[in-house]
Amino acid sequence: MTGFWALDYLCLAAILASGFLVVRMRNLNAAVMALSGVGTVLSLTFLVLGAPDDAHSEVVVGAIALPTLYLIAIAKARTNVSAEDELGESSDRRHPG
Amino acid sequence: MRPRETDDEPTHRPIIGAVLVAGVAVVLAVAMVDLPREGAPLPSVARYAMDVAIPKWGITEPVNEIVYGTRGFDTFGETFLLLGAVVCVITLTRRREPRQGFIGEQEAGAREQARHDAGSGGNETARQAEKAEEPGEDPTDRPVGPATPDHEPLGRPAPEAAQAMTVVVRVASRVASPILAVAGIYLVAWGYSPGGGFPAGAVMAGVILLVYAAFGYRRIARAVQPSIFETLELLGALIIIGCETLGLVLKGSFSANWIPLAEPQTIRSGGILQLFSGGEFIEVATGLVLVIFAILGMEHDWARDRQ
Amino acid sequence: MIVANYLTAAALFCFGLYTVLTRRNLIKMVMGLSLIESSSYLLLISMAYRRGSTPPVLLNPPHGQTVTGLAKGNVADPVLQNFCLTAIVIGVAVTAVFLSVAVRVSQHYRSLDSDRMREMKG
Repeated sequence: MTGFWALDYLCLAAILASGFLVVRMRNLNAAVMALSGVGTVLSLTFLVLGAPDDAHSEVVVGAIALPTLYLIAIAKARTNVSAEDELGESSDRRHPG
Repeated sequence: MRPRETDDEPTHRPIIGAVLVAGVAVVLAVAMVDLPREGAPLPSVARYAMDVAIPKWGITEPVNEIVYGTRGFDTFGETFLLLGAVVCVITLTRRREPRQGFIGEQEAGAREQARHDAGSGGNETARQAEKAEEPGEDPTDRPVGPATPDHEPLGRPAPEAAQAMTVVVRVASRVASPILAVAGIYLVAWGYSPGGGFPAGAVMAGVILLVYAAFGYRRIARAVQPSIFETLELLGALIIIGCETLGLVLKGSFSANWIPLAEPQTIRSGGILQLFSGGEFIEVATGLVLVIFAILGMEHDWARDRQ
Repeated sequence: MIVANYLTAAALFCFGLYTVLTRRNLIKMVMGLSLIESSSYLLLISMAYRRGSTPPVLLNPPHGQTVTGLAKGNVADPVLQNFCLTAIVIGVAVTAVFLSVAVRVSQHYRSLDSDRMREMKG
């Protein structure tokens, strides 16, 4: 059992450290990466605690969906892009052809 | 470029916030110490869910059984919350509409203009001149980068419109994306082992994002179109509605199982659970892709300077 | 001791609450909400755990055990795990909506700073 609790506490410490970084980081992109770290380590914790389904869901959300959404939103809020070329590329998806 | 305001990160009354948070922390800590610990017996609802998993649903995965079967109504509502969020994001990120005057004014004006143009007739040069004045939809005046950055000579600034990443990333994603896609489909198809529609859908959305990041939008533009994905999304919703409502029609209760049970630990075990899970898979995969590409394609909508 | 998990969840909640209360950057506020969501996931899964329990999966029972024995045996609470799964899906959907609202607001006011949005101030 001690091995179990050691793993558990290690995961908790990593989660707390990443959460603290999310609060303290000034760079928004770095804070997003810390948030992604919280999600990924959280999925490891779920695996330790015997919840494989939630570990699956949390790892795809924490490592793929949330960072992508945040990074895209930060880029969109910061850049003053011109109206065309909104994807940075020349195809226009709403009016194909 | 304007200086970034985010780098010095202004805060708002940190002391009052800290005091409030400390109060909440004390309350939470007192509550947490009183929660049932790991020695408590399982609640009877959990025992019930474990007991009915194999006899009633023929599935060896009680979590999937609860998500899509016993508490199917809850998941039904959750799926439509996801659909509502997708609709919300698409509405928020759509382009600005030509709504300067009263609604319909512009169309009526265009009709009158067309009648006037037809009446004046024959003045070919004037029409050509008018056409030239219209803001160009001409695709040639846009800077177009090379098809891949590999042919780009070294030491030049990055292409204006990069189409793809370097050969290393492209080969890696060529190898990884089919494996990831198969893993995603495995998660949803083998419903009797941990997995299910939601993680599988998120993995599929990740595969599409990987291909987009490696090859650029142009390579996936024929497949990833809002019209196709919105249709698929609503198709997934239709599968879920039909699957649940048929239970009401055939068995007399919403989300009852109406598909004959197959042998446990086969791909068809679980009755309607598999169908519901498949619908959820389509719903989540297309929903996430739609949301991400909607925010990615959000148009420049800066307010005009007040002067 | 599982209380450590509960207290970590409480601490994560407080980090999130502090971020929402004191930061003025809209995207940082959304991150605080994501932290609060994560704390609720951790609490639910920790409450599902029982001492020495196995995951609630009846697949391939270990040697000398039957499936029904596994179902009656020492397993984690599958109902709370189901709640957590639902919460994760809803968390992603809500975050996407928040972020698109934040981007639209920043485009309108040309700033992510919530103190500059004075039009609705009472």
